[in-house]
Amino acid sequence: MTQRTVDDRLREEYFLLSPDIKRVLHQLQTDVGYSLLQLTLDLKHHERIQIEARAKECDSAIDALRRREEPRQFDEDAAERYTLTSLPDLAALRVLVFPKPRLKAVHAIVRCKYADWTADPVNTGTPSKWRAWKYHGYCSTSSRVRAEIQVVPMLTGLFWQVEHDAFYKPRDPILRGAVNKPNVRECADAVYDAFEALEGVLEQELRRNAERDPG
Amino acid sequence: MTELTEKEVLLENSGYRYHFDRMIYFNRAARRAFSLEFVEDHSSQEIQNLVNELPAANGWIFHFNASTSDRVKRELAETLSE
Repeated sequence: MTQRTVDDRLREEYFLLSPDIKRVLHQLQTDVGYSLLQLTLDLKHHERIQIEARAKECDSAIDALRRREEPRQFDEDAAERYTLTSLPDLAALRVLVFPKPRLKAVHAIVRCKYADWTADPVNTGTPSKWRAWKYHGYCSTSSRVRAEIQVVPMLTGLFWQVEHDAFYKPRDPILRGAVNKPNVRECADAVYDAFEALEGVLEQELRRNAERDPG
Repeated sequence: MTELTEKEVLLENSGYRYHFDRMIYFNRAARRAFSLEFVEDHSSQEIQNLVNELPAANGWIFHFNASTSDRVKRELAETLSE
């Protein structure tokens, strides 16, 4: 009989976890959406709060676990070492916010609701710079599936969507892993810096405009 | 140029290529490979010293931060030799 590989075992585990992943995502999306309801209703016409929910797909979850290994390969002799429950983001919510003052307000509300979750902010570059808030933990609906919440400046979050398709999950296999190459990381950091500068300028202009025309 | 990019240039000038899937720098002629994590965590001088070492008489030499089983090394050597 053909021996089951680590991938086979993890696929089975994923389908056992799948109902929990859906429940966690549903709970998370509803709770966060409700917590941000008043703030969302108070938004001015140029301000945005966008909540995106995603369940990590099976292959994506297995690849994420594989990428944790330095040779990007499972050790078939130590299959019991691997479990998808060690991933922090089987269910994930990303809250995209514009502009910055709203970002801080959203973060304060979400962080307060999930105060006991583990903070794992996204920092990049040398010297390291903050890019987004991120924390992970468990919802009351499942003790097996860990969930992640990100609170992200909108421009950065939209760039991540493009970057995700272009570098993390490219159809062309040659680009897989490119995002971790030092020269690519350096260029991506320059993009984040440019977005931050743009948000800063927009914020200044909005403030100046509000001072001129307080009504 | 950051320190990490400098290390990348050092490796590429010594005939190492980046394997996008495995995220390692490897040189078939020297039969030596460095994981991205190892390159991040070691100085340019340490990497230069390892690059200057002679190739192994048999098989590949892998530089990883974490210990790696013989089976994984064997399978990885096969992949990199293709």
